Amino acid sequence: MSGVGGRLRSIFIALITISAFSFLMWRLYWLQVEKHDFFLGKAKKQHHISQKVFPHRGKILDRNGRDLAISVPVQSIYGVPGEVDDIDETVQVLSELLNLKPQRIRERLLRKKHFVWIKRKVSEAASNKIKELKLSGIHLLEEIKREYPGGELLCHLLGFVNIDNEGLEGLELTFNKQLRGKPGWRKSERDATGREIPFLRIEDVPANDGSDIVLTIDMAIQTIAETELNEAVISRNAIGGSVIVLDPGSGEVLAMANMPKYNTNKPTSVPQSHRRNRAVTDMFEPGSTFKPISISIALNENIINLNDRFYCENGAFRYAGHTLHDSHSNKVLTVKEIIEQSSNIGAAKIGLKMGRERFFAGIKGFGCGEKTGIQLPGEIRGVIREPSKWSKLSIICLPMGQEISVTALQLICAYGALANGGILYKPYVIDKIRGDKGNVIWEAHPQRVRRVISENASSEITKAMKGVVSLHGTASRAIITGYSVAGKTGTAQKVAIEGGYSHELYVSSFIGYFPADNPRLVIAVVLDEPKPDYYGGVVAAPVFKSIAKKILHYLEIPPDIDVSE
Amino acid sequence: MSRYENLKKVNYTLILCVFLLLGIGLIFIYSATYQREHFMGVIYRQLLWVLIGIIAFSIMLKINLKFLDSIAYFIYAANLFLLLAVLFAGRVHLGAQRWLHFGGFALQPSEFAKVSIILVLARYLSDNIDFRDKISYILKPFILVTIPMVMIIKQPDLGTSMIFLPVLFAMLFVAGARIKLLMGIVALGASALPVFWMFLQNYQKMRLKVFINPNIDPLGAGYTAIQSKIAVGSGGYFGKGWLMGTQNQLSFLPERHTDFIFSVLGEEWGFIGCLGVLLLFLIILVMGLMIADNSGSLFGKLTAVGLTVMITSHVLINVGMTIGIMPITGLPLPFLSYGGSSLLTMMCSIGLLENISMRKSVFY
Repeated sequence: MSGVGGRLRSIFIALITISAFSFLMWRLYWLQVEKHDFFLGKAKKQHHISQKVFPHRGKILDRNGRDLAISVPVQSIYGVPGEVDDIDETVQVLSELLNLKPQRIRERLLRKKHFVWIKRKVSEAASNKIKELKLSGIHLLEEIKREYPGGELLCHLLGFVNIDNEGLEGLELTFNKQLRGKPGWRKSERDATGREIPFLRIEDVPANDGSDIVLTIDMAIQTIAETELNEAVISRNAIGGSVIVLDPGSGEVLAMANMPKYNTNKPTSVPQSHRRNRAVTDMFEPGSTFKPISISIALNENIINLNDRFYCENGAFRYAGHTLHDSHSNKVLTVKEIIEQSSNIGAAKIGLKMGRERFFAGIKGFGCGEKTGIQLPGEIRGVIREPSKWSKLSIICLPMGQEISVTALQLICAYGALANGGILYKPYVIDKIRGDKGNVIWEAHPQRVRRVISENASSEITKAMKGVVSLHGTASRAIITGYSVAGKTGTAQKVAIEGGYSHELYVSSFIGYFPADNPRLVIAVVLDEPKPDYYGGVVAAPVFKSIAKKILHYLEIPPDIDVSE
Repeated sequence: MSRYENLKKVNYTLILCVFLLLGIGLIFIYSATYQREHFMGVIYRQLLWVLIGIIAFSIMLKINLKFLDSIAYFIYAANLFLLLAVLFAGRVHLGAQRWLHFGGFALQPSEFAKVSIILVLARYLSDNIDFRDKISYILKPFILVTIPMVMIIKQPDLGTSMIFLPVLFAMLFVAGARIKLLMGIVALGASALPVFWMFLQNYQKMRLKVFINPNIDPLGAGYTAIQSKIAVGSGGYFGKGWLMGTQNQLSFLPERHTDFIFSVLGEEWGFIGCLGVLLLFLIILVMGLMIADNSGSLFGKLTAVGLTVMITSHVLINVGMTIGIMPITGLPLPFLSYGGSSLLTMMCSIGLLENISMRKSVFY
């Protein structure tokens, strides 16, 4: 009966269907062959999970191995929105335990995601409770939290990290790369609900823990420095201050303290200004503490001798239409006496005798206007003008520490050179870096920057500065029985906001080293705006003395002067 | 006629293709479920349905076509009754009312409607072949189809109901209805599409919208479409290997042992595997039309055309939806998808085709 309906019509149906099949096949070819890479990529993206394995951030230790910054495991709470059964109850329980706003948790748990943070780095009590409750869709993840056992101790050097353990300030920032370590990863597959399939783990690369950083800082000395500075700033009504303790023979920094300070565990609880490491980020006109540097340049050039006499104009020296005053009027002073008495007129006259070029080259040699290159963030260069931009007065102002701004660190490094026989060292705070197995990766060596003065000039200036710390010098309050101390006071008027020098605001300083002829340590004390007393010899020298005495005791440095004499 | 003579007329190519597809189906139902805890239960149940299917196939092979012809209207009426029963007493599953439960069995009357409508159409069209130039020759079959279609749309099961249209057109066309009239009806239907849209359920509208652009709701209605394309596309030329398809094994593919079994095949056996399965279906198509062409009776011829087009339409719609050229409807892939009613329908259809093939020389 093939005649009925006709064979043609059947063939037509076959043709239509076969062309539909061909279209399907073409489409499959397009999907599976032409666009294969595209869809394979999409598939991999869906089911591959790459989980970061967090490394332990390296410790920061003092030179004696005491912990300054450590990493401790803590629990963080996260949610998998799809797994949450009873959202109302979950939100309520979590908001109570974690002290969070309910809307905040609810909003997060309603996101179309496989992972949302609820709260990171929670207290042990809270995490234990949550672990016990076994809320569906709420999980714990171990993370690493940075802790600073010392609290405020060494805060400005250490700095701090953010919630992801990336350094934001201080050494945590400078050495972030070394401390951070290298995160490992786990690549595995997950199913459509986001669960990891452990047996499908493709790659398992463990994290490399960060390196430990050993500082040159001695926590005992640091504690002494901070305690004394703290007390001085409060009792002298200062707005701030810095203390640095330096080994003049190497440039190692043993302590660096600043006020005001903050607790590194809660860095955001104080204004930004508290977090400045003033010893390197702030500059000031040094005033008289600069005189030994100026005079040592002249001694080095053999322009003067310690016993050369200068006419000191009875305390009032007219020069270039201005009058320069001394606090005590003197007719004639030797160079040694100029330092002991801190005579401005004497220093000015030595400056005039040197001339701008030699003097400028000298102070440049001491590192003024250059960063010391210490491994701390935020260091500034200070200000020193080229001789071509000097005024007529500059040559008498600069020798006594005006028209120049330095950081406390620059100043103490220059003193290090005065103390150690004339070599300027690059200061440093990192002693060594140790790998995660305790192996030393990097070790510091003292770095000579240059010779700045001769050994002879160094011992001459030391001799003069010993006179400062004597009964007839300006720093009799820095005398330590049994020890020879060389040092210099400074009382610098601050530059007033309206221009010129202020008559109320001072930076008072004292920098000294001991034992004077074989110095072990240089200590710089800088107090910002002490009042009502502001003389360096009165407010800064005693701080130096109490710090020095405690350090001498701690380091068991034997006396170098026979007291019975 | 001897028994031996009859067996000679059995179309063995058709049977071979069907059994190959059933085997491939079992292989991929295994792959799609073996991550589950009691997956072997699924396999055993499907094996049981294959056995029941073979029994149904044998019954359909032996049944007297003349008898079937004579009771076509009765079968149709009984099926309508069952469909009505589903609407009132059916089980709701996955948001649709498609199942009738008898003891431990769940039946989908809409599945059997696929065969009963073909039988009733073949009966009507062969009975009235002398009036094939008249418009009523087209309109009456339309009414016969529309009644169960509406009932199935109501369940709601748009996919199944849509199957009847290509079947009806193919049967009318082969029966010799006037082409101009057929085209007129197609034009009429096309112009009525906006009205049709209004009767759609929201989820059906959404499915059609995401068919145009799956990314309007990638985690919702568009999810299946996107995941299926990713699975098939990531298979490549040769596939990722059996049991190695990540999208399948990691449950990114929904409904993967039923409606989306082809995606599993595409991911694990790749383009080559898809091509092979489509070729098997093409052979079934050609065999079906050859059986129709050689049929000794008009009733047998039209039944064979209807069954062949019905099976082929399932393949085109199902495979089309897994690769994003058809909207997603709940149509299974014949012989491969898990599910008893569908398998039973398909095995009955093949049995009927073989029956027609065997009786081609008998004058009727």
